Amino acid sequence: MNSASKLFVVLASPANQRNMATLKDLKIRLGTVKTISKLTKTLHMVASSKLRSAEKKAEESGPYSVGPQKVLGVVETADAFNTATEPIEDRSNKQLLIAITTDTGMCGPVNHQIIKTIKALLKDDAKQEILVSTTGLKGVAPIVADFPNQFLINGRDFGKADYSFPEVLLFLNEIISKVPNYDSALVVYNKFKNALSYSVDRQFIPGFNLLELNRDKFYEYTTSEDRAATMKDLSEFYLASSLWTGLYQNRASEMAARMVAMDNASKNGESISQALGLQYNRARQAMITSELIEIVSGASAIESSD
Amino acid sequence: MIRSIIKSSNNLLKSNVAINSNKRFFATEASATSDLLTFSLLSPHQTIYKDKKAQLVTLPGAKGIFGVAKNHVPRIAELKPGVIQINHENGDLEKFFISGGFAFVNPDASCYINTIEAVPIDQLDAEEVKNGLARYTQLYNDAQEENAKAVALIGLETYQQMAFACGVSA
Repeated sequence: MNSASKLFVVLASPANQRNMATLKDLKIRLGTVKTISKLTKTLHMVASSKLRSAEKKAEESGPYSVGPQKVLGVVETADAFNTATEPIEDRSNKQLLIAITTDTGMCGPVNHQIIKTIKALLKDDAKQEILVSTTGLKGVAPIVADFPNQFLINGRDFGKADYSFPEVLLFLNEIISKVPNYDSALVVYNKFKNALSYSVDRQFIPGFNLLELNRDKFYEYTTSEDRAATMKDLSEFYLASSLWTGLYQNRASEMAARMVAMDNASKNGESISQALGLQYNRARQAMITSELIEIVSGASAIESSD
Repeated sequence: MIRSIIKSSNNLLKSNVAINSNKRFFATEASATSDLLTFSLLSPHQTIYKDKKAQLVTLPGAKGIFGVAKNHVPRIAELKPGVIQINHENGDLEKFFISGGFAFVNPDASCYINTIEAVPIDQLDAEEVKNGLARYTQLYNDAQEENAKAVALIGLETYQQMAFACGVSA
């Protein structure tokens, strides 16, 4: 009954009612757009101030992986496994893939590019030898959705304020305790170039079996008597230092991307709110005019009837 | 005419002298740097030294303390808690305490020292070291399981080295 009478009222003066409704809708939309613009503007400011410190840290932590890379960088592929003459006893046939993604979104294509790269790698991997672990939340859902069997662990919420090396080691420890004799590992991250450009980069880390097979490539290096143990530690250390460097590179890329994305968003928001404001004022003006005309014509009708 | 010739020859002489002195300068500098080691001391949070020249760097290897100078055999060495001693180019001596890591001595006379944590010796608090040493000795004596004993032993060794480094006796 009640709703029927409401419906009747609406139908009684459709033109006026619609005008009122559009005005209200417009006002709500305008308010929303303005709030979001404010939000994106703040995010832009936060990102640009964080970018400076992230850039500095990326620079500071950069050389950390140079040392091991200089020694182990000569081993770039896992081909040695195919040419090995004797079967290797404790080979796991697993390749670790550590993808660095961010915890929060709104940072342009940073995570998307990483996920695309990983999915391409996983599609080529028919034998399912790759096991993916991610840092950050954003990489989990897309990879689990398509390749649920190849997802290992996720380190979420770490490095919220700043990364710490022990935390990284704990994360790696978790991975390595699951796959102790990994064939090789790959760290995928966004390499920071400058505030406007970054690109997906990957760092190959040979496992200790692979290092043993490639022994001749760095034969000149002496180690302690227990060469195999040193190689195992070295491979793990190389993985840790690569991940460490990658995390900071990715953090800087994230901040740069967020800065650009949020700048674009607030510019768009501004132009939308301008257009909406114009539309709102026009509609309001039209409503006032039509109301005035109604009053005036009503008054003149009464006058003329007198 | 003659005057100009004299002038130009004079100039020539001067430039010759300059070239000679330049040569000598380069030569002496080359001989000075040729017996120096290029090293980098890195911790995860900080690049302490990058491509710095030094006469000698002494490192606490897992299998004993060893010194690295130029022309050292290429080496991959695990480091244990202890003191890194750097004999700088100008003869200054600097000491850092490290908690472990890796050292890479490359064939091109460069050395990378990747530590987990590195602090200058004078930043160690002697009082705190004494407390830590006592705590871990206690932990080691109390430990029943093998795992706990190993953990306590690592802490104990680190504190022993630290105590040794800053001259505290237990």
